[in-house]
Amino acid sequence: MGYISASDQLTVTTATDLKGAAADLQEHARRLRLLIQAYADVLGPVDDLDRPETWAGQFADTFGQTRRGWHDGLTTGGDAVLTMISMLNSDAFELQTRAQKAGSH
Amino acid sequence: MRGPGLVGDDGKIVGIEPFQTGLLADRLDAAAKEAGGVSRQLATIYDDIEATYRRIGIRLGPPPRVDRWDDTRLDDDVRSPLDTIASQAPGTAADIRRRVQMLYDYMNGKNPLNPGSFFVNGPLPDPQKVTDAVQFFKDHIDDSGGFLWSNAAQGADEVYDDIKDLSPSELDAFLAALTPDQLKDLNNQLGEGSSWWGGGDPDTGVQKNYAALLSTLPIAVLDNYRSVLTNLHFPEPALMKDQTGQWLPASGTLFGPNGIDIKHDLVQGQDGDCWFLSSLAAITERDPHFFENHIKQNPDGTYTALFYNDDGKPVQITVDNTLPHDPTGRLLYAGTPDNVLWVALYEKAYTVFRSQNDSGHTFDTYDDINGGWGGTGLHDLTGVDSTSTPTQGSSLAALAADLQKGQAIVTGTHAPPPNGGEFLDLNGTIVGSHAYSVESVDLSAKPPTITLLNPWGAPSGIQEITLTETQWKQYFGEYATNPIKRPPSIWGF
Repeated sequence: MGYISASDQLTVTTATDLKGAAADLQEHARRLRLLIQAYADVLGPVDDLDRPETWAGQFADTFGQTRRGWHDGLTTGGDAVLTMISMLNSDAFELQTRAQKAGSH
Repeated sequence: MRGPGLVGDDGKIVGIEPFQTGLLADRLDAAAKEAGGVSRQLATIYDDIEATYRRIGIRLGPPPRVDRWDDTRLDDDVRSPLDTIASQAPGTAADIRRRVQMLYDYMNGKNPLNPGSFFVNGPLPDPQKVTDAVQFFKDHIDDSGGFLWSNAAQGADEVYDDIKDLSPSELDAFLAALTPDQLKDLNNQLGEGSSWWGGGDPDTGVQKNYAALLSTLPIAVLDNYRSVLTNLHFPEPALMKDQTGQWLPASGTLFGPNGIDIKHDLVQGQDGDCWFLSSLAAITERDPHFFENHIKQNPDGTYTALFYNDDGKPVQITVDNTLPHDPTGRLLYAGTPDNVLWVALYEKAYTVFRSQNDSGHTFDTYDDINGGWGGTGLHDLTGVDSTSTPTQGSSLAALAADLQKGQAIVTGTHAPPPNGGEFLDLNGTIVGSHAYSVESVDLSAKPPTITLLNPWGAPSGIQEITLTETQWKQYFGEYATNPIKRPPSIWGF
């Protein structure tokens, strides 16, 4: 599930525009994915990119519990970026579906 | 590697390994630079994402909720920890380096200070001053003022005069250099009251001097001595166990521009004091001006709140305007929405009240209000006894009658099932082991309903819930009523 619901009316409706927007969203998701790697790399090598709690745990282990606020923030922030990547990919799929339907008329 | 001086006589590690710690500082600096760079890139990508959605006619709403506190924009949530690291890490790295230098000096015999000491931020302590102070302590702590002054905390008073001008880092190092027995001696002296003829330290002046002096230390340092110096009353309550933070002054006004607005003002923090906060709310719902007459700001900037002991006698608690924040600067406990302070200050004062009057603890701690009953909170705030009733034997009609009589009501939920999460219902709106204030009962609704206020407040998204009688009895086990009956204000409001 993304930001776009099936009932949303979009300002772009042609197959070309829809495909273009879908490609843009996929590109944003890809850039975010690269960035989340950089985000995790702030802490050094991470074991599992998709589990921010583990990076935040590594961070806490390295820098000490006095920085627990950072630990919590990194977990929340990491989860939020991963959620957004998922939303972008979902919306890209929705746009591609609409593009296919637009093209079949 | 264990360097010389890092292992104490008992074999325990008392210091840290300097070389590795220095590398950690380097890494922290590097992390700060990367965090700043990533944060800026994230901002750029979010702008691009929003532009794409605008192009296709979609306005991005609130971001996906990743937890219940997350009502702010996604980019703020993501960027803030990185920005925090970018801004705080260099200072932390510098502090680590400073401490590492102290350790090297200690190992090379240039510095006699105990490397296990916490070492507050600020200028390096003067080792000679600390050494002299420790010697003075050894020579004078057992001083007696003679027969008549034998209980006068004489030695502690003399030591105070000697150490009162030490810098915080020197004071920290001085305390760290004292043996457990020496600290015990000091504590015993601070516990000496008046002697048989009325001398000694009857006004606890020596105690107060020490409390004021030690309060210049950071919480983390002070916490090391709370359990040892049990005869000291520190001006700030301790944080809950396993929490670290800093006391920062809260700016704002006691009440909002329109006076008390409980739905706006009340936001529970990380302390489990729903029962107390819901008591505040329940009283306010019946008597909106009650607390305007029970907490006041003093000319010196402190605040005094009024509570009642078990005998119903008023007890004034005065606190300053500092509130505990986590290392990122967020409030740990009750919030101050739009800088309205009264709830957070009342909570702080109540912590002191509970610690001093009920728990028997020799120091004040936010742990003392973690968990409790609405009936207790209502009593302590009003001085009037509360009545607790099981929901099963009652009805919404009975509650409506109590509300009609002006009674404040707090109702508590059953505990959640083991490993069943914190909510009792599938919709995630009714919190287990939680206290709510009763806002209203609507007997004309079909079926009749009860509306409750959750002290988590507006940011939770589940601040207000309305239930039928069946649902209320299903999820809630008991409720406490209190007639309030405002006593005459002792301040003459």
